[in-house]
Amino acid sequence: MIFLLKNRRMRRVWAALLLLLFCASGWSQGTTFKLAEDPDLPYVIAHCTACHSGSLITQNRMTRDGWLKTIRWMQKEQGLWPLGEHEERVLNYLERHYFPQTSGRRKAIAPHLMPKQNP
Amino acid sequence: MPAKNHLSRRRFLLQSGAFSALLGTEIVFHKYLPPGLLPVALAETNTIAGKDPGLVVLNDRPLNAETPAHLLDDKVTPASRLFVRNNGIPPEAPDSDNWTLTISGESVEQEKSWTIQQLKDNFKHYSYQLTIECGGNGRAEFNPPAKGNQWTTGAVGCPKWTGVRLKDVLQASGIKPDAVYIGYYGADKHLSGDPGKFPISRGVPIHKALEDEALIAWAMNDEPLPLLNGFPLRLVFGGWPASTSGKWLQKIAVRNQIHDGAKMTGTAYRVPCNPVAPGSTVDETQMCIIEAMPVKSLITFPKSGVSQALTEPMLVRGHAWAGDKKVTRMQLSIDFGQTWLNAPLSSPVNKNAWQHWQHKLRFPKPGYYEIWAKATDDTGVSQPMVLPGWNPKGYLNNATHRIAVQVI
Repeated sequence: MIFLLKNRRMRRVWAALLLLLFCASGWSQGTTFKLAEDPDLPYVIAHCTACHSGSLITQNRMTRDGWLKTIRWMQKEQGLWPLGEHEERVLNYLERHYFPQTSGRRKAIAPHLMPKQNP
Repeated sequence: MPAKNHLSRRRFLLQSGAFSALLGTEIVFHKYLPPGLLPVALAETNTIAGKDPGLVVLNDRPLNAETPAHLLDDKVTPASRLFVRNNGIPPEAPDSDNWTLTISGESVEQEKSWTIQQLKDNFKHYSYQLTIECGGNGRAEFNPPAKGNQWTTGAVGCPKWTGVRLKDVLQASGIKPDAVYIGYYGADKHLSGDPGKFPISRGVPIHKALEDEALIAWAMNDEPLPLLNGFPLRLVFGGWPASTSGKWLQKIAVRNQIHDGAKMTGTAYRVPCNPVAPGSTVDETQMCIIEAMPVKSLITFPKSGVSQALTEPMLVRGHAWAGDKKVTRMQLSIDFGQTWLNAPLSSPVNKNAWQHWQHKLRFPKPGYYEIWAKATDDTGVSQPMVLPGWNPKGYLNNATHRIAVQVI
């Protein structure tokens, strides 16, 4: 905790998080989209929507691995800070609510019928 | 918010195109399939006596098993590779010597019973290659999901059947002018064990029963029927839901009304009379009996998932069928349906037999491809590329078959 607070960005995140934990979770959400209610939502608001619209989350569906890759890309290219111990909670949230959906008119070809040498 | 974060945010939004590109490239198509959606991969693969070990068991009580597409490559489906679909418990050791078939019902002039030997001695024998396909073949793809065995593509086959014409046997009993339907009764038992209940007793309208290719069969590919496929005697109606082709056949009733046996009524083997939106609740009175199956095709070679050298042409082949109709055009796409190639197609050996097609494909560059197969029947009706009309029980999915290929 003390270590984390040494980092200016992380101090801001912790401040936002503490505020959010005591506020209605919809507090910082827009009206055209709504992030799913969840005990871990404050972590998503603190780390993700601090910089970008929540609609970038709500309109996408990814596997846990896909969300992690996106976080790594944002960290590499977009100046996202390390999520530290919160990464697990953020990924849990994203996987729980924004996992690829099975709806639609046709599913993908089943994995056991896919090429093994898929680069 | 400090300026730097504003900048970050703006940069991020400006680069949302890059974000999409990331989605398009790194989140590969196949990764969208959650692990819970692998009906075949999750299904147990048990070996069934007399059947190819490659058959996939969907249900072990009652036994139901389907054939992976690459095992349906034979022009005439071997007995070992014909799917197994049970509604009840099959008889354990039917005695073919003392087996009798009774022709009865309110619309026959005279009830008659025949042993199998008497059928063989009294009527001319016919052999036809007849396609039988479970009405629920392809159910696994419907969404919202439909309850029942989650057949993917393998509840279909086209063996050669030998027997006598149903019409010859019915005419020996005399068909009254008010006959509209036939219904069968078999020796399989209801899952509950209740001897008063039939697991299934379906049939066809009299016009289908009187077709030349409607058989009372005792042989598949010149051998006695496999036990699981109806030994010693069964009906075969090519091109109609396989549930009309009663197994372990003991009685045929000629009816003056639409047959009302088990799984003829309610919602079984019925689809909404008028099309409905996915997930709709449909009243039983608005459900209509499925008759001929729709146009469909399979890619049986190569096996999905194969690697292919860019420098070599790829031989692709399979079968196509269209219920009571004929397939007149077979098309393949390697670009997700943007362009189609015509594949040479054979004529059926007889009505209700599947047809064969093959083609050599070349790929423009290395990468991931799907081969899509689309058949068109003689009335101009083609297979849809997405799922056809959703229905509560998940019948009649004739969407284009797809296989995955990695070109290297």
